[in-house]
Amino acid sequence: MSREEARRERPATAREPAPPPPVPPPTRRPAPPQDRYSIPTPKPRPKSPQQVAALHRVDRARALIASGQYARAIADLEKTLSLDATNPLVYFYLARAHHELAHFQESLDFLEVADSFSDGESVSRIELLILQGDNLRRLGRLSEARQSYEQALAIDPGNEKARARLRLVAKQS
Amino acid sequence: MNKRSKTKTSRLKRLFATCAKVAGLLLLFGLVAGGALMAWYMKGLSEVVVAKFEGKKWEIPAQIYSDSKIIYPGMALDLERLDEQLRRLGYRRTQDEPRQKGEYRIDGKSGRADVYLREFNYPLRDFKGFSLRISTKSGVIRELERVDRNEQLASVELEPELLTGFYDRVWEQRKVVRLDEIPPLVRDTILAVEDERFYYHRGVDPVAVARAAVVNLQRGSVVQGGSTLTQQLMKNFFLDSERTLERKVKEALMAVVAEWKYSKEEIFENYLNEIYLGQNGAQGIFGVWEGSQFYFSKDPSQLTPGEAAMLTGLIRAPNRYSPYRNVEEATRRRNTVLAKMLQDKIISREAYETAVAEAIEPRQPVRARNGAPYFTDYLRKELADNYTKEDLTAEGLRIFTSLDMELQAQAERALSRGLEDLEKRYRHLRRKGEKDNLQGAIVVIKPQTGEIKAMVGGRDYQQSQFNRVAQSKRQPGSIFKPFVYIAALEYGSKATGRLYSPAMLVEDAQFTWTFEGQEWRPENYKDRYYGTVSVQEALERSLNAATARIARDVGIENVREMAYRLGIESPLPALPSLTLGSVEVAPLEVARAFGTLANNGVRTNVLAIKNVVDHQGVGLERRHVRVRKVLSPQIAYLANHMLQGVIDRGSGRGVRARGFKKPAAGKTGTTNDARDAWFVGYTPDLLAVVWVGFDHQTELGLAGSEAALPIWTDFMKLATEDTPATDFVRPPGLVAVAIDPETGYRATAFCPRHVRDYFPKGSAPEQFCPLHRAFDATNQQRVISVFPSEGKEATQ
Repeated sequence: MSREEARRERPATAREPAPPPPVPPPTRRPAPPQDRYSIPTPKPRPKSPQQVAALHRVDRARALIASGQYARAIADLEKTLSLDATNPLVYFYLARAHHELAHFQESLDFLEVADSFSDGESVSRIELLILQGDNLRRLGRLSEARQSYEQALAIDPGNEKARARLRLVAKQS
Repeated sequence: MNKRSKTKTSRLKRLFATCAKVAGLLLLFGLVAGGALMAWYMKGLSEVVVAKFEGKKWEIPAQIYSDSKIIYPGMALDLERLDEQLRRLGYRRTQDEPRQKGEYRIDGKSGRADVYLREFNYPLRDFKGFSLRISTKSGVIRELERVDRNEQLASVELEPELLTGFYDRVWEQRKVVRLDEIPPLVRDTILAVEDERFYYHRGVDPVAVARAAVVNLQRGSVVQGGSTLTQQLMKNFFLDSERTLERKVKEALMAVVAEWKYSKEEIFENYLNEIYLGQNGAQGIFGVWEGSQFYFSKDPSQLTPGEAAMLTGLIRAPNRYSPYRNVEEATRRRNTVLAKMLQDKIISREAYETAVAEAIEPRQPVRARNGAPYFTDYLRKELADNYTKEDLTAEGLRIFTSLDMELQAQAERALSRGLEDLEKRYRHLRRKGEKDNLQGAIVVIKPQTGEIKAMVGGRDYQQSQFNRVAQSKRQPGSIFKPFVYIAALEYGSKATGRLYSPAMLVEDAQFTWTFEGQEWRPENYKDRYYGTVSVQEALERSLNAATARIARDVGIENVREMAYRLGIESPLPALPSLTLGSVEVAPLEVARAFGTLANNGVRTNVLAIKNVVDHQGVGLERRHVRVRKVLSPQIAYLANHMLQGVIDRGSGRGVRARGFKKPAAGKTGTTNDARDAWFVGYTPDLLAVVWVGFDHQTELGLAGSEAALPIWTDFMKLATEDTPATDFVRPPGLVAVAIDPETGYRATAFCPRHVRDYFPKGSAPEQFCPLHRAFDATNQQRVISVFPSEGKEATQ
């Protein structure tokens, strides 16, 4: 009789091998005691309804800017700020619209705020730097403008837009 | 006949002839003179009529509007509040599905609201009318649907509300329209009732005069007038309502002049815009368009025959026939007009039967109120640079502002209730009569944009128009302290260059600060000192000595600079006492400065006026949101975190005890002489500053936590009831470092205390604590093992 056959022939009363022990739950480190200095680590959060509504309005403003309705885009985006004042896109498009209306200082101010909220994903740093450079150039601050374009090129050496702007600055200097 | 009698007769004849000639000459002279006089008089009247017709006919006050409101899926929405808001906007509530612009239906059971939005001329944005369905569940909007297109909407903007107007002596509410904007139904009805022979007479209608005379003689009193529409217009334009023969004659002559100079259409158009149709509080309702809005919340083009009849019937006696005052009289008058409309074939029999059968529902008008009078005054001052009084009171401008009507009402209620409550609880605050009553002020801003959402400059505008939000400068006391702490986080110690952090220890004990040869000894409240405390605790408890010590270390110039940078505008003396708020500032600039913190270090300009347009809708002025990054988001976050501690554990903990649970930061303020009590507090979305005191600097005897904090809490609980709880956003670039709180340097294994403290990236101390043990590599290894997760959390 083979071992296999013997196993099949084993009487019912024979003990079955014991099931493997349950996997113990992972041990958790006890939470540190609450103190006045604890600042919670930010967890990734789904967008709030306000943020979602703000994003839609940003899309609409982008379309308005593309169609040349800059003043209207500004009006819409200012209203959007009250929904979400931490979205860098709102500030970036405000900067873009103000630039188109030749409000260069206002555009710079909005860009600075956009930069401070930027996570590097929603607003392209290169676009931000180029727009910053454009504002500075129009305000006559050429050396600062050059720096902005050079920073853009440092990120993307092949960026034609930044190169063209640098040439403009060189001509104006 | 003898010779003598013949001579006598011929003499008489000659005399008679002479007299006749003289009389004739006199008559001719009289006629010529009279004619000349009449011509001169008519010329004068003509000039007056022409000046009126061709010059500015009406003084249309500037209208002031609140801000528009955005609603979106996921937002909390109380359907009762929506009902209230739509009613204020003049929308009509219906039981059936709304079919016309300006109608709405609310079904509380299903949580649904159907609103047929109206068009509204708003600068740079089109408020197009369409049918909107709002579906809610458990008080939250689930869906916004544009019904005609079956389209889901991400957000909808509700039109702004009329707040008040700038009027000089009287408020004539009027919208001037062209004749072709008034539908034939309304025009024909008015002519049929007021002047059916309008197109046949030349200003005065002798037939109407004769008919009126007969009727009046028969009745024995004046029951019917014979004035034409033109005469009525002249009376309204120029003359008073006195019923004298002289006035009637003048009115008739002016009517003749007007008919001679101008067309029937021009006269009728002016009439339709001029007629008085009732009163709404201080507001007089003039013109058919305004009357249509006031009584029916409709454009004239939307009026039914019954409504057109009622509107026309009002002309004779607007207050007597007003459906707001007497439904029976209004119904009788309407039906009389309807009968005339049927008789003149303006409407069919069927339309007549339908209209007569309609019951007039008793309604209350939406009362015109001078809401936010302090805010209105503030606007007037803001506009004074670019607009004259005449521009504001007579040119029909429209001014769109930042105000939120609901927040304004809530702020007014909270202040009024709060001050009454204080007087009830504290006898010494009560005053007989109104002189030097306990006063207060509250200003609410949106930190993200700087928009003023509510402004209450005093307890009672009728009693005192002095705006304590913008005009009054008072000592802020401890409200000023956060500027010291933020300067400490940003600049650090002048002597060592070491940056302060929330966990660092500082001494709260008496000391003397010698500054420019003068000595100053800051004293704690009730002379109580806590010894060694953390920076955070010193701010939470509002400790004077510890704060002054920090300020001395950081430098008074840096404290000043920080206050200016954040948004304080009043001159600040470079003196040690500045650190405890021994300076005078207005609540509005306090709001601006703390708004910078709430807005993550971005300072905004205070914004009240957003747009100004002329009566034709052409934009005259637009004021933008202006921002300037003045503080790193990391420092702003640390400041907010510390100020959250004030509310959670510190001198502002009364906020939590009173039931406000949402994340918020704030600071109490009490002056040393207890004449001013302040509280400034904010969530990430809304900031409010409250001040309480006496105008004449009488001692209040109460701390900010006792007098101002309750009012703030009462207001914020209401104001944020329907908004989700949002927390301050932690920015990237904050690093956690174990420090020795005693020295502020990186902790070693030999430091008796280590705490995890937070710094902006790149500004954490690099040097290890030199006090407890000299640095060596072995110690460094040990420090890392105490906080094993340090490597992960060290950078963001």
